[in-house]
Amino acid sequence: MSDHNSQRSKWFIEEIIPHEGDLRGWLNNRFSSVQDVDDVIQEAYARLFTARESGTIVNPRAYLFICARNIALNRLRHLKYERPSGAVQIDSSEIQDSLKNPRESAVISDDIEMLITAIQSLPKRCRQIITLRRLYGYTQKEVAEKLGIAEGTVEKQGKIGLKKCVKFFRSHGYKNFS
Amino acid sequence: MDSQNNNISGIDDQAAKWVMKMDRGLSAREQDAFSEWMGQSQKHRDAYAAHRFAWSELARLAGLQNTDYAPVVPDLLGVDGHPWYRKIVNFPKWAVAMSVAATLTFLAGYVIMNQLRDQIPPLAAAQFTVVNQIQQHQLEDGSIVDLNKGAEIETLFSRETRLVKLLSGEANFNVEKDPSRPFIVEAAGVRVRAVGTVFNVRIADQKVDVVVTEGTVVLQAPMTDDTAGNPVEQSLIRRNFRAVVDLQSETPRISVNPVSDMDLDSELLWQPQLIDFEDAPLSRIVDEFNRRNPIQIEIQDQEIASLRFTSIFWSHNVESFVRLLESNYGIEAEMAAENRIVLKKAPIAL
Repeated sequence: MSDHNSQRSKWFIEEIIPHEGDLRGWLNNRFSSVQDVDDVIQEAYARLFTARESGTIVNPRAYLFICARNIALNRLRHLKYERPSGAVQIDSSEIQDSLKNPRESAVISDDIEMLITAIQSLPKRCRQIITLRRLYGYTQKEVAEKLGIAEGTVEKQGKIGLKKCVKFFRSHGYKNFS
Repeated sequence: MDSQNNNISGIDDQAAKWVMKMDRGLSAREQDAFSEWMGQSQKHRDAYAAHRFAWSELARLAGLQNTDYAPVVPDLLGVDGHPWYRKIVNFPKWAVAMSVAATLTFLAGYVIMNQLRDQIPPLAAAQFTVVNQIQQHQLEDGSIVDLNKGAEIETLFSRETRLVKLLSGEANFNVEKDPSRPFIVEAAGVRVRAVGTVFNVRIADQKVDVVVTEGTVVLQAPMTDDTAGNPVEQSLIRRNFRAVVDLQSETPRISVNPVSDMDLDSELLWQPQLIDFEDAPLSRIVDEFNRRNPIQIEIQDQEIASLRFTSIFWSHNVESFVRLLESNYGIEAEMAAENRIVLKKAPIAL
């Protein structure tokens, strides 16, 4: 057990901590209206840990950035509801530059293969939406812009795609699906 | 709403819908409607949990393409997207199905593969998924078993013992420590008893072969119910020792010999390993893959042989490795023969 823990902290220190500076700078820059950047980073770490404990993450840096972005966007939304007149700007600039890191490792294992196969088996529109939202981390709104379709269509086709993925996971016994 | 709502597919539909709405952010009114829907039945809550989980699992693929020169491709995983994906798009389903199926159904699977061969020409990609199929299972006590191709096991766990029968083939056991419940592997009547260790057991050529890589095991051969009859030969096998039991000899014979670390490595190469490269040229990475897999990769252009990578790969997952090269690094892979992949520089696109 302690071996497992020390492995985990080694992974954290070597693979994750080095990105913290980048992440903090990026959050400060893009989400200047989010006050508690530290909280966002902590929460992103927590999610990253949970995911890491239960399987493979293809690219920890990308996962971390996309998580942090989702968390920050969520907070902005709440801010908007609390202060409807407040000038909260949801940043829709591209996330891609911050994800790129040529030195990054990509680990691909069997569970990852199954996720890829699930997406491959989707109809085109569903597949594109899920790819842009989950692999590239674009928001639903940005996905709509990228594909030149309505936001409502993204939501609807995304729903169909997700439902099919669940069906695929159930029939292939992915993790605890049955 | 409509009558669809009560059946499973209707509930799944709603669950998926809520996950997508949640993903873009709920309005106050939607928040109320969601709470109400969740309160209505356990089935709703279960379906929501499943869809929410699936949605978060898909995020594991974040950054699959991660180099400076990788463009954003909505069709990255599409039939009409990348040539390599196009090749394998229909196969992994079969491959997965086959990995789940035991040796008994292998024949049926083979027939299916052959039928597929007739329908869709580029089958090789799917074939090596099967060739390299090694399955890892976690047993209910937390122990981990890697089954080599063709291996079959059966588990019989009770409060007193954890018994695993190796019916055929080769398996590697990483045993979770539990002194109150010994872990016993039975292979062709030979019993290997452990508490918390790592060892490999193989049945082949009328022999049972046991290699211990961590801790100590007790070997008994042959296991017999006839207590008055043959005395049981028993032997303690330590780390870095190999025991071979000859099943054909009249009296049970256990021969024990030391194994060097290097031999140990090559013995256990079939197990999937994470291989870690720090600024290594492609030629070296390819060598490592070739050493460990029946499928051989050949680099045609010297220019790409010297490309350098820092990366971690699963040693048995040639397919993913090649796919990564293709999607990110301007390299084209060609299935030259059933077991041979040739890597070349991709012609400049666009």
